[in-house]
Amino acid sequence: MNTIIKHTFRYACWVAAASLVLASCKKFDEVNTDPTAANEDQVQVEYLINSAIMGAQMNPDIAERSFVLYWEVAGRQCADFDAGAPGVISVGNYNDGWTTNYWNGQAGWQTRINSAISIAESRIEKNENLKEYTSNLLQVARIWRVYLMSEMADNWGPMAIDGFKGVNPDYASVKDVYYFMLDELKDATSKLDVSIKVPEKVAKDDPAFGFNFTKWQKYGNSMRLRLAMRLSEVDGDKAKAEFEDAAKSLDGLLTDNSDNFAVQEQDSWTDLAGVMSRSWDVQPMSVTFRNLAVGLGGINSADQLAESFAKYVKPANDLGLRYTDYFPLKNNDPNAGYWLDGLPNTIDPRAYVIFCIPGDTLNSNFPAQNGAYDKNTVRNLYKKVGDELKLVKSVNAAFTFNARIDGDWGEKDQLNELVNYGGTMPRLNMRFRNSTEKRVFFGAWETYFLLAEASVRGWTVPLSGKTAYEDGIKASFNFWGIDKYLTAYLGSKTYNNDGTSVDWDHTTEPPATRAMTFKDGITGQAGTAQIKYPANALYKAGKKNDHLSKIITQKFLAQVPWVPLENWSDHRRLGLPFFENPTVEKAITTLPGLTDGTYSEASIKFQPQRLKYPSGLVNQNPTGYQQAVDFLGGAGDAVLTPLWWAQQQ
Amino acid sequence: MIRKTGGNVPSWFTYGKLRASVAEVGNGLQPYQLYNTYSIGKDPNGNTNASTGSTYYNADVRSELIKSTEIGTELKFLQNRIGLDISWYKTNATRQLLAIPQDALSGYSSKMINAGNIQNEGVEVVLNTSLLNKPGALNWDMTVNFSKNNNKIIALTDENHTYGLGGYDDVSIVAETGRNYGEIYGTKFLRVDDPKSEDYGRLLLTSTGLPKGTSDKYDLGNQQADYLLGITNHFSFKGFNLSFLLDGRFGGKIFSATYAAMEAAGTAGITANRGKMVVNGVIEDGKGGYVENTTEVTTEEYWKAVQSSGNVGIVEANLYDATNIRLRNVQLSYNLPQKWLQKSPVQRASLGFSCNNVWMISSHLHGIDPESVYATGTNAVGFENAAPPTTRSFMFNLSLSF
Repeated sequence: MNTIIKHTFRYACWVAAASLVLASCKKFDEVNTDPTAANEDQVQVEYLINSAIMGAQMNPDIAERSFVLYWEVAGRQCADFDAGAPGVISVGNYNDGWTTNYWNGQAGWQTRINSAISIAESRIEKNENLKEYTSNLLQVARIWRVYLMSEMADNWGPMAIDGFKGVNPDYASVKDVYYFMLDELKDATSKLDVSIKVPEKVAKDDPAFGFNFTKWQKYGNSMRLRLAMRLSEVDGDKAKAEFEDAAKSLDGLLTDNSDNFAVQEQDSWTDLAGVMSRSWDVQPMSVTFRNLAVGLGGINSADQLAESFAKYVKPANDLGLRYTDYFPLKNNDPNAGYWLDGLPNTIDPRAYVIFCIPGDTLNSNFPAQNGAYDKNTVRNLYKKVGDELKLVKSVNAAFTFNARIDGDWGEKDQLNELVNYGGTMPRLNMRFRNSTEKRVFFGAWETYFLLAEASVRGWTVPLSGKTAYEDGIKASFNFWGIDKYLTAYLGSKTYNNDGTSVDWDHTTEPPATRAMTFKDGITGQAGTAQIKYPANALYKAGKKNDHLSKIITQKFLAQVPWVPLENWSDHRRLGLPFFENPTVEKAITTLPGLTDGTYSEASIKFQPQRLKYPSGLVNQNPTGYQQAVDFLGGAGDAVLTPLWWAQQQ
Repeated sequence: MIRKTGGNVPSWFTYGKLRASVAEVGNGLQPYQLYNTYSIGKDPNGNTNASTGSTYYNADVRSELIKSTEIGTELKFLQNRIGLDISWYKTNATRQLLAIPQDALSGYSSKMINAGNIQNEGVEVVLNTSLLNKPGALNWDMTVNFSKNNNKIIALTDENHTYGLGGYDDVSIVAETGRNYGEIYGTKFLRVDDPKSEDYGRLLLTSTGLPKGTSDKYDLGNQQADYLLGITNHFSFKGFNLSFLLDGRFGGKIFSATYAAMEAAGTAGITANRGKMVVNGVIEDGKGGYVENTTEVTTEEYWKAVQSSGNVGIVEANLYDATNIRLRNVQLSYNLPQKWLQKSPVQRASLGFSCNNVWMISSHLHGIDPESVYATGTNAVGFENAAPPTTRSFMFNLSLSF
């Protein structure tokens, strides 16, 4: 009897234990589900689009390294001063930390936008969890993905088209990337239904357009113009076909400043912080910008500024002071060795809007963030006597407007305090540094200049070259609120330092040289010099004042300060506008071709062409990296290797 | 035991034991690391946004498997006055659950997989001695503890050969296949790298006579110690007990970001020389050759140039040997004699005083404690950066038994 009970009891225990185990199996899945995370059904497409757009707005970490230290310099908006002597990307060097930081950021934004696309696609396919605007959001995500991919391809070159699926992707050539992007834009813009409106709550998740689908369509079409034009030199037929298809109607393009793709900045350490807002970044004006702006448009400085500035404006043919011992001469800037001791007689009216005038400290827009460093205008020039530096002259740079050339200044670096200081250099104005502006990714002016260039190439576009060109300048002047100078500006036939004028119909080439007066900076002796207009061997047409030179000059000036990457890309593609060589007082190891014998010529060997891949990539994706290097060809993964669409020599 | 069975051992061999063990242990994941999810958040404007994780999880991973073998022996001599405990062990951790780095263009910066074979092999020797052992007089016991552990990466995956453990700015600590755990990678002084040049290996300075760092990172050493040695001495005399522990760690390297910052600010002892100097190196002459540097610079410019490479300066300049010997612990106690306690309910009482982290006898880190590491939550102990110094503590204790 006892044994039977024992057996039954044991049997009952086993059954109870087994059923307990089986019953609790259901809980295994619950245990593994994170209660604070969302799964695919819970997340909304617009949340991911929001992160992808905000991410590209760049938090201060990424922004300083990519926008300020790489793009502003490579795009010749600012001198390469903040990267430390003798500069980084301006001399063909790179910083792996900055590159890795930016690459990881980019990959993160593309991950989010690809998630948005795959979720939207799966919902449409399964026809569940669908809203009436889901298909439109899918097209918006595809358009934004194209922008992100173009940013990556224009910086590094070969990249993945079919990535973001959890496994290491294959890398595609730049040609395949561009063809993919153009196809995506064509398809996505055509599938946008502009009649659909989204609820207000959803609209808040688009910091650029509020999911106004008409604006997205215009942006998509204009992006198509930008990317098609990139192929103009290397694949002319494809470029023409895509461009003409996208430019069929002017109404479909981004042509008004109210349609600009712009995201509002916010003064906080987040994605929305201003890209140029780190107070320790000096960001002084570049020699390239100075040479383009001075003399262009014929508007007198005295007419642009208050009465009190009139006494600082110099005559038109005045070079200023000659300091051949203190400024480097081993470069092809025509003004090498001269320091203008006042304001230029005539200058593009955008110059004073973008850059401050040293000493103009009472101006509310003056960038004074670093105490005396930003405000003191008196600095010294020295002479080397044995091992000591002897003071030669104290110079007051207040109310002057000069620029510092990139490169290795050699001995002259310690002799000249005027150009290694905040208070003496024109720097980006305060309005760009306090995170109150809207960061513009695509401006109406760019559409017009692209149409103008297409017209010059003989492509079929809705506007004539002259109209597009003048409308582009008008859009830019309108953006900065300086429309009052427009009429006079458009009719100006005066040449800037590079030999280009504004008036579309004035295509007379400048003379070989012009006579200018100067005073010796130390002895005070007056003299005259014949100053050349610089030879730009990279622009193969060999002209300084033809239509394309004018278009790209105006496009460059209009894109400052928001789109320096496009300025770098245009120069890599066309060799326009004139980018002077970094100076080579002492040899620059990363630009081995730039020597005493070659510094007066323009060559792609003296210009950065791309960023090197981050050092971790070769370990994380060895197959992909090798594919990318093979596509790059030439010197492989180096800063000086030109991309597929750029000038190859 | 041997004697009981009729064998013969010398009389000074008191006790002997041989032991061996083989074990296999598993290890699991942290919670919620099986499925890939999204995290919902708010953007700076207060609107909802979402993002994905950085590690690609895989629901098919298996548990880790740690196989360990240990052989040890415990020997006592001279009536237990000398005791020797030696053990040798080898642990292989396979099927490690590692987040292996992948191309960020895959959507994730790392992927959770089973991989790797990480081996810990080492030996531990403990020697216990009673040097003076007479009841009523001074007793002196000394224990010496020696351990040597070699932590090596046998394999990671077929594709990946390095796995990041931690790091900061230009310093990275990685696990590399075929090397010891914790290789330190960082920038070096730029030197002439042409083996045919007669200046091969000399510092390559800028045109102003200042040193520069390389743009790439190089393998600078390993964070692992070669061996650890500890010696405890215990004295007792008529109720007083004094013991102190000397602790030494030998080998391994550590990067000091604190000292790098101090050099740049001029507060480091090494910068006390405030004169001018000529850096011993060469400068490029522009024609492919090199000339001797004769430019005089101030010591301030030199240290600032060292610090200006990246955010922590040239890593090689502040990579030190982490060898250090310290007096880690001193304890003094007094057992109250029985005759004082006979009439009280207290059976035993003792008063004690102890001090921890007493005295750093020798270290290479200019006064910084090599144990005040930066990345305390990780295995990357090869660098320190402005961590609070390790503390010294003093304790008084009174122990009563009823």
